[in-house]
Amino acid sequence: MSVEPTNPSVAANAADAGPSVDFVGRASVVDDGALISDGAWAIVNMPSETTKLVQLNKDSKVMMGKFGSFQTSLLMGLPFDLPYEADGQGVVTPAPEGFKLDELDIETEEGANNKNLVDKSDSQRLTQAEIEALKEKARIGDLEGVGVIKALTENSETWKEKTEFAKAKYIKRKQKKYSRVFTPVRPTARLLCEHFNRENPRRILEIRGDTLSQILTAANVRAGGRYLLVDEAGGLLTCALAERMQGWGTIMMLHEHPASNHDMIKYLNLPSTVPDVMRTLSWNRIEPHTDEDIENTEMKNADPERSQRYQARIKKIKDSREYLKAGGFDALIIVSLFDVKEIIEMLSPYLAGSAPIVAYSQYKEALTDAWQHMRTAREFVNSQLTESWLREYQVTGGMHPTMRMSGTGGYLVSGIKVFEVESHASTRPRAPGKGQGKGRRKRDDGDDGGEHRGADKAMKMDE
Amino acid sequence: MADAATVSRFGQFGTRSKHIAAGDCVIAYSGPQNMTFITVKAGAVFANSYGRYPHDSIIGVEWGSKHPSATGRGFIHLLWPTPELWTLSLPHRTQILYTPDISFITSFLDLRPGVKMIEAGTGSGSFSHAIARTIAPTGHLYTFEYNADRYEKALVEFQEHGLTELVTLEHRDVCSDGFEQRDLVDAVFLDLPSPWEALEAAKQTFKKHKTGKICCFSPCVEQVLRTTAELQKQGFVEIKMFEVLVRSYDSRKTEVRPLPTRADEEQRRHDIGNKKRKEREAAASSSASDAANPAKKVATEDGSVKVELAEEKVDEAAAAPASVNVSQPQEVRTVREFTGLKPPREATGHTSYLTFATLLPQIYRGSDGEKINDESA
Repeated sequence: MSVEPTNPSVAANAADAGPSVDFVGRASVVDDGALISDGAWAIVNMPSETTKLVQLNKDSKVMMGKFGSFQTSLLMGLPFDLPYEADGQGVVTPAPEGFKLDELDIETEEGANNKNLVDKSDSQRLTQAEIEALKEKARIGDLEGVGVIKALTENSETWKEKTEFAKAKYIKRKQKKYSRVFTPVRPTARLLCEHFNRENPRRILEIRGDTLSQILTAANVRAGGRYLLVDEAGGLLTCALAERMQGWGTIMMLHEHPASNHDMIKYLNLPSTVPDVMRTLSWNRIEPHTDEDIENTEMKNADPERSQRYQARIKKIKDSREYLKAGGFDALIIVSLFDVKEIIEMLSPYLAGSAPIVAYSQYKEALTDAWQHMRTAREFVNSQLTESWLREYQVTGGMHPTMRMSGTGGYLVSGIKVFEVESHASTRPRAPGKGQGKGRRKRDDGDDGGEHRGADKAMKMDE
Repeated sequence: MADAATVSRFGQFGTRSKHIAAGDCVIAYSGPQNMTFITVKAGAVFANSYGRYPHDSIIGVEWGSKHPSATGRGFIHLLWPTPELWTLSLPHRTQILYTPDISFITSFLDLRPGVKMIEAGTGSGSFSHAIARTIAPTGHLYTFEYNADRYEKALVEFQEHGLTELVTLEHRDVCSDGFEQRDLVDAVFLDLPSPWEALEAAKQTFKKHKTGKICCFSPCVEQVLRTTAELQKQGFVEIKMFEVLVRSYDSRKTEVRPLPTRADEEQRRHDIGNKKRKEREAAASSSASDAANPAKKVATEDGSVKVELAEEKVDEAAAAPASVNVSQPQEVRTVREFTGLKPPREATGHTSYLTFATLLPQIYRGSDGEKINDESA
């Protein structure tokens, strides 16, 4: 923890005077992170279009399943994101051109179409045994992956009649089987999000990349900010914030169990020169507990070493609590399975005036109460409920939307914390009963329209 | 305070204080569609349809306060400016980028503190502010605008917002004149009518030893086709194209009614009969009497609403003009109320196509330490 433990008065000052962070004297890590170093994590794009999250150590081997394995030592000092080809013997070399498609004849005769195509199994002149032999040669490195595909296309009777699009599709399919080109990519929060969405979506509560990006903008995440965070997406949010802060500012994280889980941050390969921005506090420690007074616990008579460890732990808890209670946070970000409305009620007092609040859920029903609360309570403005929508297109080899798309990116509820009481700076008299009250606020919210007034009344009835 | 502004290099937007001071940029918020960006000056007055707000009354007030107008009849909320709120309060000079697009591009271009970046054109400076927020304090934005008027306006704004250390604005047509930057940036964003004309020049600006990311922002499919063809020609890889939108929701307290039963129908006919009879009686006696109350909704403890079929207070025997028998036990049926969430009837359907591509490192070392690829050598 690089941030010095703060006493409440200092923290309060900090909240008033803006973040007291030193922006000078630390070089950017943008360039340093571009090369693979010992112990760096990488998201490896496999030929099969899957991804693997691996740590690249100086003396280890990465297994690529049927694609063989490679020595990671050979990657040290080379750039991330470049395609590399494994030769089947463990040696890798940069393959900036990727898969050498130029060697394949994908030129198409004019008017090629599937008019005369007959669906039969004997259009391939190579026998199964011959294909197996080629595959074996490719596996041990005697033949490049592209060689197998070349042989297949040259011996296909229907190849000439295929359209350019059909050929591209065929090659792409075969590439997954025979290519040994892989790409170790420098992990970013966006790529981690994509990776876990593919491999284990529940771990990150199915947050999609576009939704994650909207959370960061809605909360105005930046270097030097101080954020309240509830992250039950396996640490993905912590990662995303840390990436946008690069050591400047503070993440105050509330968590359930005695220890927080933000292990995912290690995948970002942040160099040790980047200060830790994390402070954590368990929900059960927001209010003091009797065990914090050592006289009340059996630690009283424990041996000095244990007792010291215990006291250090308690001190950390107390520091975090004081830091939280000093308030003045720049935003509240909630990705949680707990009741969002309850979280907002509990934590919004610690927000600075005008601080944004943003909460995510896969289910809009889980956000409805929180949204209604923000719409009707007068300490929030500009609240909205949105769903993320994303459509990807295939652009090369015929432009069209991709055949399969993600069904939903989930829901966000957002708003801005304001003060309900009118500012004290004005001493002018006010007309009684004007400029106040829910009806008034609704009118001022302009586009909220009349129908919501009815909704508000109904809400009150429910209460 | 001034010191904090210098070190964050994000000027007004990066300087968080508890209270509003003279010179601060403030968002005067009256509603989601009604925000105005003001710079607080002693003696000035902000006025909107809800009232007049002398700036002097704003100075010293806590951010986020609800602030009364001079007469006390109206109020505004005083919000701290973020690039997003600033965008919403902006007098539009060009088609601006909206927040979902800005968010997605920021993420896809891997923007973070320290990133050096090119933007063309600057337009209203909407995205420039969002970029500056994310790359501060150690990054840098080079932004280019070919329209003289827009250039002047953006220049003044960057100065007013204290962004000059972080942002370099140049009046330049990058399609015809290219860029002077070489081997310098991590990312390029092109929001131009014909981005393909600037791609060859843009390629030269990227750092050679690391991965570069580019995004072209175009509303039309034809533009995307030409852009992707040129991206491929220039050796960019991983060409991807997206459309991104958010769908907002409205909420409405609404209800579902139970299917009608025979009893309902008979009750209705009975009620109509009663009503007509009462009207006749009322007309006859010329005295005002209450219309029949067909059914009343009664809130119950569990929050649902029961529709109690009205108990007629009129003497049944005397009132039986119809042949139906309504003296059977009345069944109580429940209307289920719920908060309905639905997208508005009309919504933004398209902003622009976002075309992304990657430029791979052009210089790197082989495993034996030798430079094995250097285009410039």
